[in-house]
Amino acid sequence: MFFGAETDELRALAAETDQIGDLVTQTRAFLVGLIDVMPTIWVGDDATQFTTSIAQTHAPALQATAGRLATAANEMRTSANRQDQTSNN
Amino acid sequence: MSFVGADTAQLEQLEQQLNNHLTQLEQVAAKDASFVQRVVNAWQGPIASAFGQHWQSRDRPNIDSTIAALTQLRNELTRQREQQDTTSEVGPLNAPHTGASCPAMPLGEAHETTATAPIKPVASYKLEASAMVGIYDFVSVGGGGEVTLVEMSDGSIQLSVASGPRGGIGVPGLGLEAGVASGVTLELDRAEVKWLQEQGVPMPPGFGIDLENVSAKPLQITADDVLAVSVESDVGAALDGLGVNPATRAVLSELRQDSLERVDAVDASAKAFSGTEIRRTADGWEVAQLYGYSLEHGDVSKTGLAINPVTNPPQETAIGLLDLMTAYDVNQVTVERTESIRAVEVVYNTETHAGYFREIDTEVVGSSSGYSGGIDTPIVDETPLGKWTPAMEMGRFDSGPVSVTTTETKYDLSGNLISSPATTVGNGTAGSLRADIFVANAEGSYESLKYE
Repeated sequence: MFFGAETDELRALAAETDQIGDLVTQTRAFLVGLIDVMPTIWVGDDATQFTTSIAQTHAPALQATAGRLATAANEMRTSANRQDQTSNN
Repeated sequence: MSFVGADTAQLEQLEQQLNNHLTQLEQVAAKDASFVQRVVNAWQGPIASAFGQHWQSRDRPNIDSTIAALTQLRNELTRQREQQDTTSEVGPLNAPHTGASCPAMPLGEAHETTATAPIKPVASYKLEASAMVGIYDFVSVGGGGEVTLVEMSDGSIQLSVASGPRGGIGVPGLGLEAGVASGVTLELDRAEVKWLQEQGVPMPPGFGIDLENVSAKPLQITADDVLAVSVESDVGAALDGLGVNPATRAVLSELRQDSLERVDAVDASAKAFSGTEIRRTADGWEVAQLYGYSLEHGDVSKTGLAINPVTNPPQETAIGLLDLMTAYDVNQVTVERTESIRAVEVVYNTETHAGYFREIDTEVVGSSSGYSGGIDTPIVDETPLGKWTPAMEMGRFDSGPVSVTTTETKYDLSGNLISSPATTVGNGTAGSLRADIFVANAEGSYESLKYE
């Protein structure tokens, strides 16, 4: 048995999940920009190591997280719709 | 770790961006536990569990490690910027200075409230006026002032107003003059400029700040709007429209190694100036002491108005007849003007305690045309003998294209170069209006420039 209040909460959570996903996506875009900018202002071993970890670890990891958050938000909305239909029937 | 090719402003900008992203990620991290719990409660089933597990095992650690990396970078940037701040003080660029009868201090655009690329002037519009009247023998007194509006690349507008008394020894148009001018520079927005315009404040010809679709807002000046306060004095010798007879022309041509065949009169001035300006910068208030001089000369060529009714429009023919038959003298004039201004500024920042020198070289080249009027000898004046007969110019107005090139170079207090010379070129129009009537002299001029 599902109630409207629960599906509303699920949709609200889906919206919140999208917001988190947007923030993560923005930070990932900023990291990608940093990869281009850093060599022009910062040189040395530390700089190379930092840029490499941004390019190979942090940016791809955030991309994966953003992807999972987007998928989850969609699943939540689908689930809420399905629950509403079941209740109506 | 070493940073190259970045100035303080760039580092500060990057630092600010890092802070913004760190704040966002920390907000995500802060809502973590309750958020996942709410998801699991509302969205029951295996997918919800998988989402919760992924979040705990992968996503949250991804965000935490990104926060750690960005925090490390932010701290390094802060350290680097603070180090640069204490080792070298690179001040903002000046708005170009064109030198005036009471030259305003070169205004540091100075008001970098946000750490972005240097804010540069886009266009400037200046109006100047002065009036002198003889009071006793060769002594004259008067006053002058100028109003300048500078449009900056960040959209802000700087209004500089300077005025003060002047005194002279000699006859109007020829002699020694000295003046003191105090000025203030304010930051305005377009709505306030529109309001000034609506109040009848004259804007110079060519004024081009876009005020369409702007609603006027009354000017309300607070301490935060004051960008600079200055006091400046100048002393110099000036001659305006000194007639050049053939003998003088020959000597001058020899001295200048330049044919002055067409030159009928010369305007010239040599002036020394010094002053103090207190101005706001991103790094606190600066005190600047300025010393400089300017040399200006204009070659004035006059062409009497012909009276041929075939080649001249009726009104010019009428004026030409008036010119020929009476003592009224009317001429078309062209003025080729050059001005060189050299200035050095010593700047001290009251908060960072850093100092530097700034060398400012300005070259002005202009060519303008218009009309002049005065008195001369009837009939004879329009013949070749006219060169030898007395004539007195009493008024002149002219306008035309002008180009102003300003080069700034900064040095630290030991004389080492801080920044390579930066050149600003402004092109536009300038004009002047002058009246000399026996003991009274009044002048006005304008200059409208757009910077490349």
